[in-house]
Formats: sequence, structure tokens, C-alpha cells
Amino acid sequence: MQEGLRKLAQDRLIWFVILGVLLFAADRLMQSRDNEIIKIDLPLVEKLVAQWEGQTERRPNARELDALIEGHIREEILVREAARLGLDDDDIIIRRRLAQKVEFMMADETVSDLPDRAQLQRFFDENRAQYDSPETLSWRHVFVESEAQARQVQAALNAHESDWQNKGKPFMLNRQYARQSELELSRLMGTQFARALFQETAKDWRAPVQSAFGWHVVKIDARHAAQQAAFEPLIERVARDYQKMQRQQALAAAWAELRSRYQVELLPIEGAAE
Amino acid sequence: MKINKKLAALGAAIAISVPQLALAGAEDRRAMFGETHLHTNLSFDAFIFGNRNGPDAAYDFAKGKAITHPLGFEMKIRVPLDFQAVTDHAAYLGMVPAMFDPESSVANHPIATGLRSAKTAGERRAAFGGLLPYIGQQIEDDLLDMNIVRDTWAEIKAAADRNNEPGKFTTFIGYEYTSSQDTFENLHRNVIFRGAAPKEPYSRLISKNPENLWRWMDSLRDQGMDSIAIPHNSNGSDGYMFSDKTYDGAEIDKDYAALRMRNEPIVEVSQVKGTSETHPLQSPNDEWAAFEIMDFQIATWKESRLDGSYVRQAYRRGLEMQAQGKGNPYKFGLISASDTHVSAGAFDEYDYWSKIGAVDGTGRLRGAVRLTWTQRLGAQVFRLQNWWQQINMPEDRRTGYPGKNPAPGYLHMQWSSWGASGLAGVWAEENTRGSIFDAMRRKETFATSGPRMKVRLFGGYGFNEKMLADPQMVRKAYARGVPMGGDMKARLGRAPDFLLWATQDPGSAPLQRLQMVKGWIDAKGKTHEKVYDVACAGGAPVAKATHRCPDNNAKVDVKTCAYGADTGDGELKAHWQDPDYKPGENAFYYVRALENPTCRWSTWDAIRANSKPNPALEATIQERVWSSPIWLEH
Repeated sequence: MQEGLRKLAQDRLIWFVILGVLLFAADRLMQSRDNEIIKIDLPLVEKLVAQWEGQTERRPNARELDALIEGHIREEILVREAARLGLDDDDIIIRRRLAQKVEFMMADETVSDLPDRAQLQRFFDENRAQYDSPETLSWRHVFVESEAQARQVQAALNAHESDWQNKGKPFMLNRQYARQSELELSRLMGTQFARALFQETAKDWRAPVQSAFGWHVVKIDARHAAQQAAFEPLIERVARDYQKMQRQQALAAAWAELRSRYQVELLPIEGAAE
Repeated sequence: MKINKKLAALGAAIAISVPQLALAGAEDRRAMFGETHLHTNLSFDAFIFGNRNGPDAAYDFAKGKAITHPLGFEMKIRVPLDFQAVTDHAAYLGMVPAMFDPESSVANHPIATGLRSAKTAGERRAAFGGLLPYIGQQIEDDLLDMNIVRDTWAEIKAAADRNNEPGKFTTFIGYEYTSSQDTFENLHRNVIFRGAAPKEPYSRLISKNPENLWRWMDSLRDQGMDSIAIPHNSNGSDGYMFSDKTYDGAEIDKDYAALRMRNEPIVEVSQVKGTSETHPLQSPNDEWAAFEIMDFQIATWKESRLDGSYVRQAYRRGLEMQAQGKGNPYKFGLISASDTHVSAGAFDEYDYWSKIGAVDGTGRLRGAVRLTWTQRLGAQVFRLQNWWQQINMPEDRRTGYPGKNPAPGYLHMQWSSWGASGLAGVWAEENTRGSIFDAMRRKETFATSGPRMKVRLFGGYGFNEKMLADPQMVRKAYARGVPMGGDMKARLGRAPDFLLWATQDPGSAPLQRLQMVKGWIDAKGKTHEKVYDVACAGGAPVAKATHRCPDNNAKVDVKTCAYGADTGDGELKAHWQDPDYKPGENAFYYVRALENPTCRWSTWDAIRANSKPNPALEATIQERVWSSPIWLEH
């Protein structure tokens, strides 16, 4: 046994390894000392002050500034500790945040400054539909018990309409509505009812129409055609939308470029899925 | 003098005629939905959770525009709201820098040192969690930078005024008074102003005793600024929200009851952090009592005492107190709200983002989606780091899983037992501050667990079955009786009549059953409760002996969340006479209507992530609507 140890001690390779370990440890020590220095310079302080001002709309006093810097130091130390422990590796929030930052950068890089009037006018013309107000209906209805009753009440109403508010059953919502879009109507009464009303062309009482709540006799009082929007009053909104579109396009282009640099390998799945 | 007397008589005549004038428009009241509990980035904790949306964004969201979640995805409401209040924590405005300032005299507060010395993420989270109940407790007034508080409050008021569109969309100026007993016992309420609001909010830094808040509200009312306070999360109050004692432990008396009712006409019964209608251990004969239960003290794993924490028991306690000559401090109406901290309430099970931003913004973080192996390892490390916090963690009374030993493979956090709730419903003449606020004051309000179900309730004498089909039912019901939130006087020992009515949300599942929940006090001063089914889907009869509908066999496929359209009704309606009425017994009655079962948010999360659902969480939910009660008095 002792013989074996002696032999080992004479082996140069062992000494080489021990020396290597010592060197490595010394290097780590130096590195960690480096790692224990936190530098505070003027640009950093200015940044902290700007952040503070952004939130409070005033400058920090001396005590608050001290606290800001101390807070930064604390954050920096904690972040370094976290990195040392590898806590950032599989943290979903950090991953998302990093990804998001790159996305912001990609989007910002290619967005030009204020678009000119002609560009906006062109954009408005191309996207006119989203600025127009949709077709709306003004309508009234009588809520009834059954499909059969709907037909009876329809006939009665088309003969004498005067007392329409006293026909049928009570209804939880209104009996009469003005200027509703198909979307608003579907939120109120269900999509089936909204579609039926918007397809209805007759001007007298119609039945039966079914909603989420039951059966109705319906009359369309007025149909208000979709309104075309004018460019001038909407120019600010158009500008915002234009820039948003530019950002999205830039992002898509940058992403396509980035994606083309990577290859994705699909690995075979071993064993059965859970 | 004579003239003065005449004037006084005229004044009295006008005062008497006013309710009748109001009554003339009552039948035109319509149901509107809103949010009364919402935090923006101006709340210190919401900011920590990553929320960067201010009040303007919150109003944009309510009006139907998409805004961004702290994790980067878009949040968009399914149907825009009719009204909304932004209610940031008053006590936190501007206080965080003081906590971080080592020179300040709060520096030695255990929470402040904890905040500054926290080294791990777990300690930091624990320190912030502890801040919520502690902040303000030992802080001297001279430390509070009231300039920051006033500026932020001014911005909240300006944003509300800027976004108010009378007739279309109503905003309210409001804030949260985040009070407690000594530690974590939640006594939070939201203060909502009818119109103008004072220069500073009254926060827990001034007093943690809600009675002092009410006195402040009384004094504002004398200056022409009306407000109400709406308590929430009684479930996490450790029994203090609806206690039989005052804040200081004294006996409740008539003055206390009047002070409380003048200032707190309604209560938030359901929100993201659970539903406080009742607890299955308190209502063993109510098969639907185990609904979205969250029975821990807020921001802790400490059990919250059941006694004094739930609404139905509070109503019963109120009857007892009244019988003992102490007045009834618990005669409140009901609403729900979200309590979101990302400026946007998550009301739909299939589109849920919980409430605290980066902390619970994904299905995994909420415990609904299975963790990967590396995440499971991370979760173990987190648990070991926080062993001291978890050592006394009780078993979750709902799931049976204690936090220290969750369902294998899933996170089990406080927010695992939260839910996609809820909305405030009001019956008001028009969409304006005055009209909606007045509906809340007269308690003509209802609460939903998220979907837009509507409910009406009328109590009186001389109602009959035929009225249900009468197109003038609502007008007649107002004329002959009282709506939800009202008091009715018992007449000649006759059982009272009720009209109950609920409709489904056209964008959600149909209704399964319509119920009346009754509580009463007997001649010996003992209280009781009973749940009656009064109308069943498909017109099925209610069994006379059990007061139960037959099972309508509504099913939901938890693999796809699809449900059949063959059962369930668009509306349920009933005329009901109390079969157990005994002359002399005071009682309360409120309506509850249940949807057919649908998938709960946790099931939707699991399906989207292609994960097995967490077996510790409910797979389905029966969404519901609660009316405010009607009180029968002798």
C-alpha cells in the first residue's frame, strides 16, 4: 500500500494534475475578486435619476439618490449571485424578457421617423375598411314562448302594431335598440340572432327568430348603411397605425432573416409518450 | 314663522314624492356590467409584478382595446364593460423608496431590513409578501412623502375624468383601503366616489380601523362628496370581516350597525382570490357550496378561520344581532370584481391570465400545467429554500394537498386556488356615475363568477304565476313589491311571494337551475339556512320533498371542453312562495342561478399546453350569478 503511494507520488502526471488544480483554483479566486467590484460612474447615476424622474416626475433628493444607488448595488449583487448559481438558465421570465428585448430591437431598427402626409393618405386608402363604421340596425322585438306563438304574434302585429309593447312575455333586456352593429348585437343576443337580423330584408314584423334566450318576433325599424371614414379628422390615429404596421413589418423581416440562420433538428422520440 | 312652517311642509311633501318619481323610471332600469376592483402600475405590488399599464390603459382595456400583459401577450376583453373603477393601493403610493432607504427610520423595521438583505429570489418574494400587511404599521407620519401620494392620486382622478363618457362608459374615482388586523387578516375595502373626490385618500397609514375610514367618509358626505366602501376577500380575513365584535373587540351596537351600513351597502362576494358566498363546512346541505374556495389568509399559507369570513353566515349573524337589539351591520348587497394587478380583469375561463403578472402569468406557474423535469428540480430547490415558510403549511381544505407536498409534477402556489372571477352587475336607469352609484347604494346589484348572466328578484304580496308571462311584469313587480337589495315588511302572517328570473350569457353555457337561498331566525333566536331549487332546465319539475331539480345530464368533455347544446335553458323564471315560512321569523332571500358545467381555466391551460390536468384542481366549473338579498322583517 505504502509502496503504491510512493510510486504515485513519484509519478509526474499526478504532480501535473495537482498543480493544474491549484492554478485553476487560484484563477477562480482572482476572477471572483474581479467579480466583486461594482463600478458606479456618472452615466449610471444619470440613468438611475432618469428612471426615478420617469416614475415620480421630480428629481430625487440626496437621501433618495443614495437609496437609488444602494438599490442598484443590491440589484447588481443579487443578479451576479443569481447568475453564479445558474438561476437565469431556465427561468422562463428571463428567457421571455431577453427574447422580447431582441424583438424590440429588431422592430426599432428599421422604423423611420414621422411618415409624410402622402404616405399616410396611401396607407389610409389601402386600409379604409378598418376606419369605416359598420352597418347598424335599429330594431324592436317581442319575446314569445314558442315558435308557434311567434307566428301568431307576427300575424297580429302586422295587422295592428299599436300595442306591440304589451305583446309576448317579459324580456330581461330592452325591447327596442338603436344603431347596433352585428358584433354588438351578437354579444347581446347571440351570434345566430345577430346573423338572422342582418340578413333580414323585410320591413314588417318577422318571425320566428331564435336567440340564446328563446323565440322572438322582430321588426327592423331602420338600416343604417356603413359610413365611410374621412382622412383628415383621423390623421393622428392613422399615423399611429402606420407606425405600428411599420414596426410589425420590420419585425417580421428581421425575424425571417434571423430564422434563416438557424437550422432546427427534430430528434426521434424514444419510448412512449406519457 | 308661519312661512317657515309652510316651507317645511312643502319640503316634506317633496321629499315624500321623490321616491315615487324615482319609481316611475324603475321599470326602465337595465343590467350593466362593470369592474370595481383593479390595480394599475401605480400600485406598488402591481409594479413589482411587472405591470407597466397605467389607468388609461386599464380604461382602454375595459372599452375593448387590447393591452399588454407583463409577459408580453395581449389581453383583450370578450365584451367591453359598461363601467369601471381603478382602485390602486392608497397606502403604498410613494412608500417603497422609503423602505429601501437605509437612512430612514423605517430602516430597522424587520420587513425593510428583510427587503434590503434578501439574497435569494425566495427571500425577496417572502419579504415583499410580508410587506403587504406590515407596511404602515410602524411608520411615523413625518416619513410619508405626501407630495408623491397627492400627485399620484391627482393622476388617478384625472384619468377617471378623462375616460368617463356619460351614457356610454362610466368611470369612478376610487382606491383600495388595504387594512388588516394585527398581521394578515384581510380587511381590505375599495372606496368608490360618486363624483368628486378629496385631495388625499384615507389610507391604513392614518388608521387601520375601518370604523375611522367610515367616519372620514361621513365627514366627506357632509361636504357633498358621497362614497361607499366595498369590502373584499372576507374569505381571507380570519373571521374578522363579519365578526360579532368591533375592530377593537367591543360589542357591536346600533350606532356601529348604522355607521357600517351607511358606508358599506355592498360587498364583493367573488373575485380572482376565491368566492366568499359560503364554505362547504358551513353549509353542509348546499351541494354547490364548494365553489372556488380560497380559505387562506391573504398572501400567506395561514388558515383563515371560517367563522366570520363568509357572506351567508354574515347575513345570519346580522339577523341574530338585530334580534338582540344591536342593529344589523350585515345587511349588504352583492357584487363581484376581479382585483386584477395587470390593469385588466381575466373574466373568462378559456382566456385566463390570473392577476399578478409575471408571477402567475402562465399555466405552469399557476400549477395547471405539468412541470418538466428541470422545472421540477427548480421547484424542489425553491421549496427547500423556503422550508421555514412552509413548515406550518396546513392542508388545503379544498384540494387536500398541502403546499409543502403538492400533486406530483405540478406547482402548488397560493394562486393555484384562484379563479376567473368576476363581474359587478347593477340595475340602473342610465350609464352614468350618478345612476350606477345610486344602484349600488340601494343594493340593486348582483354578482357573477365571470359570465354575463343577468338576474332579477322581486319580493312582495300579490304576485302570481300569471305575472311571469305578463309583458308588464317588471312594472307591476316594482309597483307591488321591492327589488333585490330591498326590505319588505311581513303582512298578516302571510308567506311572502317572490319573482325570480335569470338569463344566460349568450356567449357562455345555458342555465341549469334557478335557486332561492334562504336564511332565517327562529323564535329561540337560532338561525338556519336552506337552498331551494325553484326552476329547472327544460321545464323539469322540482321534487317537492327535496326541493331539487332532477339531474339535467349536462356534460362537458374535459379533453376538448366541448359541451352539448341539447340541455340547459336561455332563461329560467319562477314565481315562488316560501313553503317554510313561519309568522314572526325574520329572513333573507337571495337568488343563485347555475350554468351547466364548463371547463375551468386550469383545464383550458392544460389542454393548450398539451399537459395532463392537475388532479388536485377542479376540472370543471358551474359558473353562477348571485342576486342581492331581500330582507323580510316583522
